[in-house]
Amino acid sequence: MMRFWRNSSWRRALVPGARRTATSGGSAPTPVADNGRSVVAATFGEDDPQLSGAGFLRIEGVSKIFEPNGGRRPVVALREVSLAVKTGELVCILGRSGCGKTTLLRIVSGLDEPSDGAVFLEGTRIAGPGPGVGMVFQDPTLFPWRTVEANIALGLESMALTKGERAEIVRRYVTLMGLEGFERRYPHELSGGIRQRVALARAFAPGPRVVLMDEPFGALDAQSRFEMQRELLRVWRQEMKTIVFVTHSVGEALYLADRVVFLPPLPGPITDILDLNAFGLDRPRDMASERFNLARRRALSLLGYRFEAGAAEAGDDPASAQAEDHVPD
Amino acid sequence: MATLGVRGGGAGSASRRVARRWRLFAVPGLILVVWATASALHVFPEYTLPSVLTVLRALGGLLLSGEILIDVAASLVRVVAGTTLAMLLGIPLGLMIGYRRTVSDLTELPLHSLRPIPPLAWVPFALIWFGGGFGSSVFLVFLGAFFPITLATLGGVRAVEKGHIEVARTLGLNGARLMWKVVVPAALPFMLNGVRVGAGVAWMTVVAAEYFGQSHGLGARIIQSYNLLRMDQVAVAMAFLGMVGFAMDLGIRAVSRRLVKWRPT
Repeated sequence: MMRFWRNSSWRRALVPGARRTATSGGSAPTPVADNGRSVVAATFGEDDPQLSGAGFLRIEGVSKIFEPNGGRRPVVALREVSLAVKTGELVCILGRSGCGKTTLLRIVSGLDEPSDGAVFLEGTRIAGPGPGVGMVFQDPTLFPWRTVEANIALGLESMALTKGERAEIVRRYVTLMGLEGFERRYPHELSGGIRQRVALARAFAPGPRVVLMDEPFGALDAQSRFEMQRELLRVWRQEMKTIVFVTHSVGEALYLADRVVFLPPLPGPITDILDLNAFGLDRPRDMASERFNLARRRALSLLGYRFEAGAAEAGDDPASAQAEDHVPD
Repeated sequence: MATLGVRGGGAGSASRRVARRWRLFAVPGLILVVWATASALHVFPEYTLPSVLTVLRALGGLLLSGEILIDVAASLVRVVAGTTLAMLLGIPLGLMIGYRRTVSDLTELPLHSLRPIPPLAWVPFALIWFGGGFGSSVFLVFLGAFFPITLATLGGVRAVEKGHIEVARTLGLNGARLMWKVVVPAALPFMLNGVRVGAGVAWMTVVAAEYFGQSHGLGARIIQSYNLLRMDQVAVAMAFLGMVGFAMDLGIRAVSRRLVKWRPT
């Protein structure tokens, strides 16, 4: 009974200060940014070779601190993360579980607010989710009461389009994602791979300028996953979209990305970016080629794994070294 | 696996369907037989357990005069009116409580302190406010159906997957459009279940409501027949309550199946 009372919203409503003690009981959060200085100047100087150029999507000094209820100490998920993504670029954000990849993507999408810093799409600050930024989650999260067609159409229904135009766009993305014959099916009748295709089509259909993908192929079997990666590259080339793709798979990042961004395992600014075009990895990429393996070695060394005379030597964390074993897919 | 295949196929399944039909009617049949035997042997006096024959005669009489059909119609109209009113108020209210924190806070106390009051406790006020006619019984039926429908809708809104809301928001939906295109369809199965439960309570309430000052209706028929100790007529009215309530439930289930045909069986 007492426990019920302590946790109830009644207590918060009736006891003055109950809400305050619940959220500010822990220690003060780690200082994240010096608010006095200009974040833009500090992180986007023209002298920075990797971040100059036309920044289509700009992440500027984004920090995120979660303040859990019940007096537990605040958790810093992201600290001063900055990144510029060029028009039409496919950027993969690589990092281990829990390093804040998803948090970063949710902030870029506008679903979550940064504690500090901001995200700009074509110079306009992203203040909330909207049709300019599309999102694909690991779970397809299709609407079970809508057919494949109707799922793809949902984002179009809030736009000023005639029925014919809408149907035209839906048909285009059905074809693009190879979903012919599934138009009238309901999600529960589809396999995981097909569902994720629908989720991709649904994200692309309203014509967002950026599409964010949060480990979208993480739940698929290896073969479907490879197929979907190829499909994604095809669609990306055809649609000329800017894509930010989050993954924990080195192989996937190297296969897909123009640039691989390494999100540090402990919250902090991005220091390592691997430009695969500059590395000489032309598409279509051969995952068994020497150059691809050189890139892989480079990526793994950026993740903290040392390779000497071709022999792999695990870093300081054997568990995570093992986790990387399954990566080449 | 093989045995399953054999048992599931061909003539086997047809005979099983026949067996199933027998099972469906076995218990009602047994009850009928026990009742007929008991009344034929005069185990109980006629006024405590009317015989099958008396009841059938009463049924014939009430059907011929058309009285019972008027009663059914009167009760049905009250149930439908009260339940419809409860849907019109309860569904939007449930949606708003689930969707808006302010509405939730404003309604929490009144809702949960009014809900435990049985509709029948309202009878005196209903009679004073709406008189002994149509209004008061519809009001009581409304009270009975309102809470199950509102709370089921609220539960449905609370059960909407966060992921669905987020996907919809990244697709540019918000406000009324988000409510109409995501929250309502996601909560629909819950709402329909609430209507089903609400309609059940409505039938319970209408009978009791009609005990007080109604000239027609199955409840009125029951209390009037009881006053004349015509237990055969009481039994006929009860049988109609069972049948009409059952039919209504089947109807609501059929509508539900049509509306949520996307649900995996």
